[in-house]
Amino acid sequence: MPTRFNVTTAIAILALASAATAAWATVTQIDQVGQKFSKTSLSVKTGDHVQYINQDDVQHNIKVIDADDDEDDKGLQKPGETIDVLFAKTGRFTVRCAIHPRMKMSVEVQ
Amino acid sequence: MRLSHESRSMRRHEKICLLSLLLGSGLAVTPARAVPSFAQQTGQPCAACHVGAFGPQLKPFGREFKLYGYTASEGKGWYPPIAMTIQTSFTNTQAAQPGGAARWFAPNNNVALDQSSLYYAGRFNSTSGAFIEMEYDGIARQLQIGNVDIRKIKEFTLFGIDAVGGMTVNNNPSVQDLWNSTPAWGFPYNASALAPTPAAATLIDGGLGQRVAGLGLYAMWDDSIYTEVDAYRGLGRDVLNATGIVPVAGAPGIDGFVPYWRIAWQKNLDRHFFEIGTYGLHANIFPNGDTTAGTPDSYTDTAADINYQFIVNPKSVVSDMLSVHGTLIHEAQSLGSSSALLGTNNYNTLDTFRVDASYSFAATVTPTIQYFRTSGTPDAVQYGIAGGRPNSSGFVTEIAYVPWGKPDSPFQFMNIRLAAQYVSYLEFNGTAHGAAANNALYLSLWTALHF
Repeated sequence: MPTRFNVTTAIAILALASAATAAWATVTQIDQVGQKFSKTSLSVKTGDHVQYINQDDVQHNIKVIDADDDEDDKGLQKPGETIDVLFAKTGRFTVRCAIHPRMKMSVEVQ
Repeated sequence: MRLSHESRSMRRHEKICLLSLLLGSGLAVTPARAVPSFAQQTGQPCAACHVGAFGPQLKPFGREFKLYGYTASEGKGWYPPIAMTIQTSFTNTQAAQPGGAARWFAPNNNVALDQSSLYYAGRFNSTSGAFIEMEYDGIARQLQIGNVDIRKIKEFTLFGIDAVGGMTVNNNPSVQDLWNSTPAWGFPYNASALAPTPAAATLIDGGLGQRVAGLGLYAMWDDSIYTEVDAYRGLGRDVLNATGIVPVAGAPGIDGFVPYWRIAWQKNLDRHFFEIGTYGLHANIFPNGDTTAGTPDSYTDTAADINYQFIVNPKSVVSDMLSVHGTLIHEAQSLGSSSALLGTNNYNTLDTFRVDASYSFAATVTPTIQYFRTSGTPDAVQYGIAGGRPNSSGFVTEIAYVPWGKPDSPFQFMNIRLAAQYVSYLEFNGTAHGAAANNALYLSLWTALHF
């Protein structure tokens, strides 16, 4: 019985902690307008999300590139679509559009 | 008058038989300039890159795509980027041309297949790409090489600022340029090869197109400062024959390297785009390849250019858009060899000024007007015209209609451009009297397809 109580308690504590973390994670919105990002640099914390909102009438293709040049291709993004990017680890990232070479920004994750 | 750069330059040099290297097929049409395989590669409609959704006039993203070596892609994998264009037309000149507008053509009111072109236009990989054109010239009835621009690029930082640099291999000085104020991609974007054109043109104004090959290095720093240097060599007669650029007589006359330079400053704001720059070249040429005079003639072309674009709604690729381009070219001709052999002046100057403005309505209807003027030292032998005055001036007005090439267009694999163009002369080959007889109406249908 004590063992069962401890397991249940641990699960509950983990769930609460997880919910609290999610609640504290911030979401930043970046507009894609005129084939540009609305910001050229951004600083976020681990676990934060950035939402990229395509307000152009052409498609984009977001790639998140880390310091080792490893790419996370988020795929084609049609006009009006929003791409959500979770920054789960610290570091400096470059976010750019594979279709529009000058459309890029840096994200510092602390 | 600035019709087909190549045809104008060709005619000037044919008449005087000075530069055998520049002598070509007689009448050449402006190379076709719309490549739907780029649209296929990027997943973008024609209107994303091109003002009026068709043709060579570029928007900021079109310039960016070219600067980055035609490499941008929506990432659906590589496929051979093959495209095709066909141009057909009707030409009416105010006065008929006795003997026919060209071989196989009537003195007036000619319907023609101007040109049919096949392209490799797209990326090889993430850092290299090409625009390569093979064309059938329906006026000269000849298969020939068109414009070629092969690029390799690299991104880097300089003083902590982003930059992109590259290498270009091309065959026409200014074909690699990003802006529509330089000769290779300037207005008018297509023109009649069956209408009279002035005798005089500067060398950089198409006179070397497809007759040279060159290697250039370029860099754009901070999206604002652009520099480029190229070195060209004249192609040998065998190569010119093999590529359909047939010299009439004599050996190629370009002596040594032809340096080309380009410096530009641009500012890209949300709705406004500005550019101001300079470009030019220097060429040493033996007339008819004849080296007996010892030293070649030398041509030094120095030019300035400006661009302005206003995008009414930057969020939309079909936004209304105002575009203005201008250029002033000064040519210094030191003609020691031609003077000794043929009797030209020892030294001439030739100046060309052009400015055009267009307003694109919803990337569908685009009216354009251009003023052009060429003037210089009279030289009857050099220009092959009575009186020798090379002065010509006038206006080109055009209205183009492009139904497709937009995000919601029903045909993503093809596009068409219907245009009505009128060329009116104030002065033609040094005289205002009778200049209007050379005025021309040009109706064209331009079709582009990708496979």
